[in-house]
Amino acid sequence: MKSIKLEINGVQHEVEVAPWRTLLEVIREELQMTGTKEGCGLGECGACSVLMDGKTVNSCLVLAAEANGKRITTIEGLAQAERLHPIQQSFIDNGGFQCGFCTPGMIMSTKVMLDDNPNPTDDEIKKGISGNLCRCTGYAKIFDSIRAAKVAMAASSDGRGGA
Amino acid sequence: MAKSSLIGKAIPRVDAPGKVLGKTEYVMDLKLPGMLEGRILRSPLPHAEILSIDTGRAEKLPGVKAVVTAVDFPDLRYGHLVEDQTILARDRVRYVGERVAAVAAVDLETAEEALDLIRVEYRELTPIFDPLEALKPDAPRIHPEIDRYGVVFASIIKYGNVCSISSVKRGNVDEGFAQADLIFEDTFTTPMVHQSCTEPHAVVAQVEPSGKVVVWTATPAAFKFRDGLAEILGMPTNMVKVIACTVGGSFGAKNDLRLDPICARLAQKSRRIVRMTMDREEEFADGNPRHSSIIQLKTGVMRDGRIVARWARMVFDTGAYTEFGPAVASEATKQISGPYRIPNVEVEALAVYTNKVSCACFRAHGGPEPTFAYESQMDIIAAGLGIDPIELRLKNAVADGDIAPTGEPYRKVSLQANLRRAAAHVNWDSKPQGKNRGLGIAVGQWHTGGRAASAIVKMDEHGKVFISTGCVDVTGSHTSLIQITAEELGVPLADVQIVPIDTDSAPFDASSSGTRSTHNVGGVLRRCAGQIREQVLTLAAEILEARRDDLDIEDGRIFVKGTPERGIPLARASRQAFRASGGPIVASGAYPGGALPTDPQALRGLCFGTAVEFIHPVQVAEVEVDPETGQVTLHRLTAIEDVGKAINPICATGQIEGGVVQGIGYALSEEIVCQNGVILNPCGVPYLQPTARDVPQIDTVLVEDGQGSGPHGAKGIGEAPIIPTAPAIANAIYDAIGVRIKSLPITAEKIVAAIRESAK
Repeated sequence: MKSIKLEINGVQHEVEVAPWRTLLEVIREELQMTGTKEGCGLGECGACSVLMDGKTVNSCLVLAAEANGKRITTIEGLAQAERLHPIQQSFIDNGGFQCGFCTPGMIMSTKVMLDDNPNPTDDEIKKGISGNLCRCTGYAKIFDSIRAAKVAMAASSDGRGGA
Repeated sequence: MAKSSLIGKAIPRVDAPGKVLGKTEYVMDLKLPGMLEGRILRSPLPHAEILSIDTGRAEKLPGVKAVVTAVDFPDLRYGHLVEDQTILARDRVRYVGERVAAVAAVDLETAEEALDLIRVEYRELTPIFDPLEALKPDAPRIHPEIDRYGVVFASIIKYGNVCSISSVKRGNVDEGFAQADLIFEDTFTTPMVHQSCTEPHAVVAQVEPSGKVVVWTATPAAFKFRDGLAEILGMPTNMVKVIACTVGGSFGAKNDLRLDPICARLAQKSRRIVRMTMDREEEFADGNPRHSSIIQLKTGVMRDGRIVARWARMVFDTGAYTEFGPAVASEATKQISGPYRIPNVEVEALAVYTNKVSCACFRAHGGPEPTFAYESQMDIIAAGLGIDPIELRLKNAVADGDIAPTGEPYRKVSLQANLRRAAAHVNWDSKPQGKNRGLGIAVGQWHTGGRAASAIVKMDEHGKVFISTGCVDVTGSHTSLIQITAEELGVPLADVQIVPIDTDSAPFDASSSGTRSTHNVGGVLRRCAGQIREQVLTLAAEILEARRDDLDIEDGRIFVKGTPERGIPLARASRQAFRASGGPIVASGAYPGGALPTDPQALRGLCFGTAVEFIHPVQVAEVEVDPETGQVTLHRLTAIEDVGKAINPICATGQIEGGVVQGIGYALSEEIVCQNGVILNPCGVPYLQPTARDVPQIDTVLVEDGQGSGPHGAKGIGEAPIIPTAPAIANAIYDAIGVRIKSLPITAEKIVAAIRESAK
């Protein structure tokens, strides 16, 4: 067992983990933050996407030990108190989800994309979420959601859709 | 009648906040005290006798709390069409990945270690992987005891390695071909494909002190699961409770029991709560994918384009156990004539056992396979006769008053109108002239499904409304159902809720599958809401000293029509009901199900049908093909969808876009690769379902003609959009480069090979 430190959504955690444990298992099983989903466990579907030091990772492919000392953001860290992040609001308004299982990962990948490039083209949007599989929506309403989020975030001074 | 304000409104889904916040709980998110983890030992062989199973060492491993094999279950075979299955293999295994034993342990690692300690002695038998081999008279029998298996429908015909054969015969096909000017004969093949829901199968089971088994599971068919669990566990149905959890995608994959009875038995044996989840490899090895098919199709036509005869033989590879094979074969016999007026028809379809994973339901079972065949051939005929593909379809398209070869009547048919809508939308007559670009059209025929549904609606003493129904939300249907109920009652959306579903408290529903939820349950709710409306208006009439007929409700307020200032909040009337008589304000109702009539003279074998009305989607694909690499670029996909009325346009178009993109995967990339019975996806061979980068512009055209038999004229939606996509794309590829691919998926390799072949 190894002791590791993780900053998840601004909160410090210290956990004892076996060397083979993945970041996803620590988030879901040890810390019981189940917003991050396990779809395939093979790094193919992107349902487990989280931010590690500002970059998207498939948390099922990251060993917990590799995440030692890193800053992690999960879907639970996106909304501020009662206020949804504009990406979340936009996915609601535009029907950018159906079964919802890929949605947390999809929203996290969208956040990284818009943080890096606040004004992506349609092709860049497609590329930005091409690591996140959705079987229900056919992606069309996810594209709509991201386009709307981009506009909402650009219109706000803090980049979060608020004043 | 209140003004229609909520019907047709694109309101966000009621489950939206939980889903975007990551707070919606799926089965795998449940963590209950003392919960064990269960794992399954699976067969490494495609066909073998089980000589012995020794679980002794596994049982002794510290941390292992229960081990089960077939002997822990009643000795019975089950199946919803042919009773040929056991939940764990008994005596024989018939596919790689078949469930043989299971373990519950304190953690996954211990459970996995215990699986390694179970010794199974097998004697290998000759496997069969090719359904055409399985049909040969001297082929080894995969189910030697097939004659003794029970059937759920007496009409099922089974023999040898055939678990069902269905046929449809109308007119005289020999005379039809004799009369024809030209005869077209083609063979088409379609692959086994996977639903590939993002959420894997998962279940949690607990045994209550009374002995009642409680199962948390994700399925659109909670009552079917309850009944199946009771049967397999040998318990009364009222000692099994299924709690229907959020479904992370199904498309048919979660219509049938997989883990649930095993998990329940492990919970009984260990006296602990047990959780089981399938990993991605198991999802493929032991899922229930769409059948692969081989379709021989022969069509006789006159020079003017009239189809006069059709013959077809379709072989569906159902894998090791029957599952839904007979229903798929039966549906295919109806589908293969298309929505075309053909006087002479003789078609048959077989579901054939092989030593591969059992195939079952995938969105529009038995629809996309024959549609790929007959709609591809329709364009072959059009080219052969020099007739425009849309003209040819219009010439043969069914209309009101026609009768399908099965005897089902056509009423309120919008096919011809939908073909014209498609032509107008894409400017068909001025096709793109770019090099290697093409347009392709295809139609489809599906139906609104009608199986039993019911609901109970309660208005409480504060005027709030609670709906109890067994109809699980897999498509956004809860949102549409709330819209229908709120509209009828004249209350705000926020005042209507659907209570969580379990089989003890919810009234029966057949399943949220088969293109039926909003249509069937929505109609029930509309009537229930109407009854409640009557009850509160009668009470309000006393309070307001007005005539019942003079009252109306809008936005939760009852008022006198013409003098709207004379009114009371609806909550006051509901409170009065409880003060005066103790309430309750309740209404219940049901949809009995039923199907269109068929002609028994025309049918042989199982005729599986739940169609209450036909629907006719039309799609047009616009592609560009690189003849050097075979790469297909899909520029635009237009979907004309026959919805009758979109109760919620976001939910409706979402269903259509999702179905179309699954159709794109079916057309161009998806295939389960099986080698000597071993499925190579997803480990080794990727399963190429569409990513965001594979999606073209999708133009959805909702045909809202109000002609459906559902609430507000709605028809079913869910399954139809996947049906015409593959042939539309195949036809567009032909239009672009003059190469006809008759085998799905249409990969770049196949296109390049066909170009080389045609250049010879």
